[in-house]
Amino acid sequence: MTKPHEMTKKKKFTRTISGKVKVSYHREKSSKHHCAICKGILHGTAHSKTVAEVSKLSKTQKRPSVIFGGVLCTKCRKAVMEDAAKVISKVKNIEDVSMTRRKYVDVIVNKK
Amino acid sequence: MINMAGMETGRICLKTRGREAGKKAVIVSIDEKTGFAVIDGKDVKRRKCNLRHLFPTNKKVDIKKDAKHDEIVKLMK
Repeated sequence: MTKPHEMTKKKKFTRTISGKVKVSYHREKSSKHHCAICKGILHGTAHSKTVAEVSKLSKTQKRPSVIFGGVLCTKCRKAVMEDAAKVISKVKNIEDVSMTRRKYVDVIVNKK
Repeated sequence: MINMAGMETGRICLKTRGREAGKKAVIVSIDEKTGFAVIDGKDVKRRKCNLRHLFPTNKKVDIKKDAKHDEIVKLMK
């Protein structure tokens, strides 16, 4: 049975000069965060650190303090805002907005 | 070139970029040479803003030349 402390780590097998195979353990690092619409890499998010390192950071160091920060990239956020402005000024219906952006446009339109 | 269609004093805009993205603001004055506007609103402090970071809506309020913050907040309701 594997020990519980070994399950959280990544194993790496190395062969020594004398011919023995030894196992070295590594902590797994968190992957980069991606935009929910275009799948591009997000800036200002905590990545390439272990889970323990990320949990010690403050909230402002984990994601940018913008609306949809850590979820959408800047290009997609601007497209969402322009769609929301059109829905507010009744140029466009919310049914005509593309399916990928409609969820985020709905948040801004129904805000107080 | 910046698209100036609908950009005039008293126009209610939605901010598209930055920390205040998604919040409504009124244009107080525009400087066309530099491409900057002075904005004010309920959730937004009075400050300069790039015209590329604003998107106009169809709503407009009548404001005086030197309107104060409290007058603009009343008109926006």
